[in-house]
Amino acid sequence: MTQPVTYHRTAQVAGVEVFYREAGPKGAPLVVLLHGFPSSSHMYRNLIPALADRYHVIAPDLPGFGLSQMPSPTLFEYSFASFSKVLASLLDQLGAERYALYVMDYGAPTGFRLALAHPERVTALIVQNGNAYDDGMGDFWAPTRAYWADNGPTNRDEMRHFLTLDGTRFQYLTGARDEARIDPAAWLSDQLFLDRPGSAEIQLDIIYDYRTNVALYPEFHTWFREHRPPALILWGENDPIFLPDGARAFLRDLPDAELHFFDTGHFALEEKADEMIPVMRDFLARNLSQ
Amino acid sequence: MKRHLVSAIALLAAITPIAAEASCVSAPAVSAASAVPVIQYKSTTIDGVKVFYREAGPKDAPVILLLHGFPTSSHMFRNLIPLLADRYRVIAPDYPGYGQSDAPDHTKFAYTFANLTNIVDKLTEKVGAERYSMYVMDYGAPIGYRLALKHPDRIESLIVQNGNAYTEGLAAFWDPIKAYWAEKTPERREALAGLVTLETTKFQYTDGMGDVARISPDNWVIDQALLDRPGNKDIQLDLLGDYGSNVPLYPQFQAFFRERKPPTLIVWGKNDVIFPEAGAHPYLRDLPDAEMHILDSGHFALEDKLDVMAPLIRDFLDRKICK
Repeated sequence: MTQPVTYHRTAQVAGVEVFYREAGPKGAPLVVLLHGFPSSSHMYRNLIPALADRYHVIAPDLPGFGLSQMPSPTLFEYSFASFSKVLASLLDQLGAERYALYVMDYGAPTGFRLALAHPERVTALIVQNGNAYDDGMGDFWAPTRAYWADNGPTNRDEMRHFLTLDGTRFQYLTGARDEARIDPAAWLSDQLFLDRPGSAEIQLDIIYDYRTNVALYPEFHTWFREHRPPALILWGENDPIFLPDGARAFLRDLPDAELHFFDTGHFALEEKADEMIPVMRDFLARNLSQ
Repeated sequence: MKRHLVSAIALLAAITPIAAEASCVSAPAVSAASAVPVIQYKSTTIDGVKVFYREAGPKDAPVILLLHGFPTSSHMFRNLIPLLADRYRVIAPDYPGYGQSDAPDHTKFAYTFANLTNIVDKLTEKVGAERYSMYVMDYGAPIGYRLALKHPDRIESLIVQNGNAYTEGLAAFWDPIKAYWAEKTPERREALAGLVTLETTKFQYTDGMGDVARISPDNWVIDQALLDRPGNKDIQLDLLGDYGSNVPLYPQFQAFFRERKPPTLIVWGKNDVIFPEAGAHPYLRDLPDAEMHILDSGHFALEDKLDVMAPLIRDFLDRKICK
């Protein structure tokens, strides 16, 4: 009746110290959990033990997030291309040859880029409020699109509210049905890392780079169509950041994907893990073999 | 005939024991992995202070009150709670000055063990916990034992983890703190300043632990951020100073143990320099039936040995509370 032990480790990857949580039997099928903005593997703290009885689970913190190193932007390129390369190197170092990917928010473009680079390695996809289609991006994105079009100081400054405590709370609470089900430590912990000296400018650079993901959407779709990995879409339907149409859109290129909506917001796991975990376990049991 | 039936039913009702207010669900048919417990994160105002607490489990199940230690909060119980919440109503408060509870300035709120106990006592009453088992660790021990002195009838069982009730349990670590108790000078107070630094916080979580990779850095990251809030150092120094008021109560705590004989489980990290193993064995003098497990672990043993401790705790509660 107990829970598996989570290990907290670091690896040197291309000169950056990357922190990751790891649990579960090393020989079991691997599930890699990729976090979103502005969080870290901390968002997976309760999911990891819920999978690690049967699966080998790895959840890294991207450089600049959580407990991974946050090198100066003069020494490290903060871009999704770079994140994907760091992730690939980490997984190589850990001897990971094949893996399922759970992707949320920033974890989605990072994971999909990884899939493009190493298509044969992805055994299954779980996409949770992680976008790959224009359909998912509504009015919320207007100021960000303006920033992508012109990254001068005015538009850049418009993005700063995303980095505040209010902005972080917004991400956790908007669309949630019952605030009492959400541990305030989640956003408070995230905010600690956002508040580090130098973090704001790095995060603003990353928000700007997100436009390069949108440019890759057609290639993601081609990969989905050609490789057709088993796919589970889990979506907090009240998320203002990635809309429900962004979930349904996956079915165009992954017609066999299993789609589940949950009455919650962007960080769906915080509120609805009790509903999501059984769905995930069932999906993984059917689709991941030893 | 009908009158006899009515009388028989009335008689039966009279002799059948009144159902206990807390009721136990039968042992769950599903494993913990397939039924994910829901934890609630709530706050309530007590004596003008917002008190945060985690709550989980069936509303009418026996209550397990989890009382945290310095310098943490109910966060230390985050992984234990789901492992008890299928059968037990688990309540884990953050004391004022800790975690997500308010931390009023120390000139506005008396940071004493008596007052923290008062707050926790009122919280138990507010949430309708009339009887409870207590898991006590570190500061949670004097708070829990003071509660027991106030309401001996309410205590159903004890789980004691690196929490002290005997003078022989206060070893060298306590010398500078005892010096402050002896004479509350600014110098002796400031000599304790190191106890609220990151170095000490991290030490509390990692010292005496076999494989530090098992210990989540979330613990000291969160704890230290809260310790570093303006005014929190004074709160912590006040409480370190007031810990001395617990020691004269030890004989009364021990009398409670002897007289009420609560079923007791002791799970103790033996490598703890703050509350070493020497503080665990004396409990057996006054609680000879206590079940004691000395673990190769440190102060925050739950972070290191949850996989060993949770089954012990669960088995103990299932035998003593939800039979």
